[in-house]
Amino acid sequence: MAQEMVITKEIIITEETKPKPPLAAIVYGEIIYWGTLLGAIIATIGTAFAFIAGKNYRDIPQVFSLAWQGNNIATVWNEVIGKLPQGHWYLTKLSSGDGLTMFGIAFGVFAVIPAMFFSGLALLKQKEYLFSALAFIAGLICIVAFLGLIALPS
Amino acid sequence: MGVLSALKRARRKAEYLLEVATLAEAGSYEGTGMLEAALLLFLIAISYIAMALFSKVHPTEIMSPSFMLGIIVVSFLLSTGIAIVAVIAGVGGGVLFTPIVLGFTSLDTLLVRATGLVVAMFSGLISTGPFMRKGLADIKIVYFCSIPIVLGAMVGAFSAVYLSAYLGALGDAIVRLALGVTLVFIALMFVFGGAKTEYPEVKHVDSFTKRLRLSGSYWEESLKKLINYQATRGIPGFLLFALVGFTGGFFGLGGGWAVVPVLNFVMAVPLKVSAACSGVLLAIGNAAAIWPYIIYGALLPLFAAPWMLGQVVGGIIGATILVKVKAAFVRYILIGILFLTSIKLIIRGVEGIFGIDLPIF
Repeated sequence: MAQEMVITKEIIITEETKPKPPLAAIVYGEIIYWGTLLGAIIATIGTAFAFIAGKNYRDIPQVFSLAWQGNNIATVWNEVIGKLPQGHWYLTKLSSGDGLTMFGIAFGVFAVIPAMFFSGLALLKQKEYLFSALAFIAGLICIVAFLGLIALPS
Repeated sequence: MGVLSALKRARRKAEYLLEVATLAEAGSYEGTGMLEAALLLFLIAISYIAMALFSKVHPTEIMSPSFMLGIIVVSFLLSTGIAIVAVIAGVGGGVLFTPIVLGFTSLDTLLVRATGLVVAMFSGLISTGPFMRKGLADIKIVYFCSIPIVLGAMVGAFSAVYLSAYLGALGDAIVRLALGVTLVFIALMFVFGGAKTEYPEVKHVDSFTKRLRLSGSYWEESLKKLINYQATRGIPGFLLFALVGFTGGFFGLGGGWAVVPVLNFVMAVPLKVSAACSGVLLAIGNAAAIWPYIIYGALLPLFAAPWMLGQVVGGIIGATILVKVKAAFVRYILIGILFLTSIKLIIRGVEGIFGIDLPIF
């Protein structure tokens, strides 16, 4: 009886005090987790496609050889396609192995952006206005980086 | 009446046991993600076997298709190994990948740093889900710290691209030297900063941090109790995170080695929450830093993909075996690697800047 009383007390403490993760955290975590896994699967398929179909935007053996010799990135691109890509080149090359692989990596990275916005909305719903604003600001900074709105050297 | 209350007690007991079992699984990282990791590993193995058997890639004067495939497979295995060591040592994988590859290969520094960010961020990305599910990562602390980290990381990434574009080989040498010196600092931090506070006591909370309400609680499974915490020193933490972001973005190191100390030592956040927030913050900071590299074309997909996949698989394996190995042993290995690599990087940096050949390893 005494033991049961202790258990009953533990149950009350556990149920009443164990915090549930906030909705914003769950939303954020799940979007990123599944986005990353999906990105990893796409990248795996893309790599296999690059070798098996042999259909690539850039000549893969040449790229590997030039990179392995220690050439800088600008030289590698210039030797292979004559210029630096300057943008999300893979979005128009999804039927190529290297394009699909790059898309998989980018997809995994991109998952952070919707995760921030949706968790920002959840924080807004929870009336956490400051942290909701911070989530949107962080998301916007990532969008600025993603869109390449700050010029890079060519 | 007595039967009813006995039934109620039995129901509560069953619910309690179920709750504990759920916490034991979801509450510890080792119980989550293993199925996904196993399926991914299976897919990767099938893909690599298919690539070996049905390759249509032609050879060049420098490389045969099998050598290329060898690079991919070895990269995947190395990345898995790095992720395991990094998770056990409590750092991001970038802090091992970038210095080792920069120190011991001739690959372009921009390519290595871009890939280093992939290595640094993907173990953080994959661990975000479990950390959030079990309520260990505090979303408010994460967003407060994410702003300086993201801004710092972007400035660091842009600086890296500009340095590479305008200074060429000299820029590479400067990066190697600076990274070597930074690594000595990180290694010393690991040597002397061993005594982390699991549950820091906060005697005074400054008014700025108090207004932010950076407080929370989490269920400590090992103690079977609720731990309440209150962060402090928000402004120094904010500034330090900007520096951490810059270093991570510039060198492609990530920032796991510094996020935990700043949260734990400076802001007095419990160690477990600091570690969980660190993984999440790594992912956010590097997600901003990596886009300039991607847009510039500094990420070669077939070179980066195996490193990304290794981080995802190794990150989960590392967390699974975390409880079975002595973390101190791994920490010594990490310190050794960091010191050795820093020496190599400093030598290569000095050689590149002054055009000399130092007869040291």
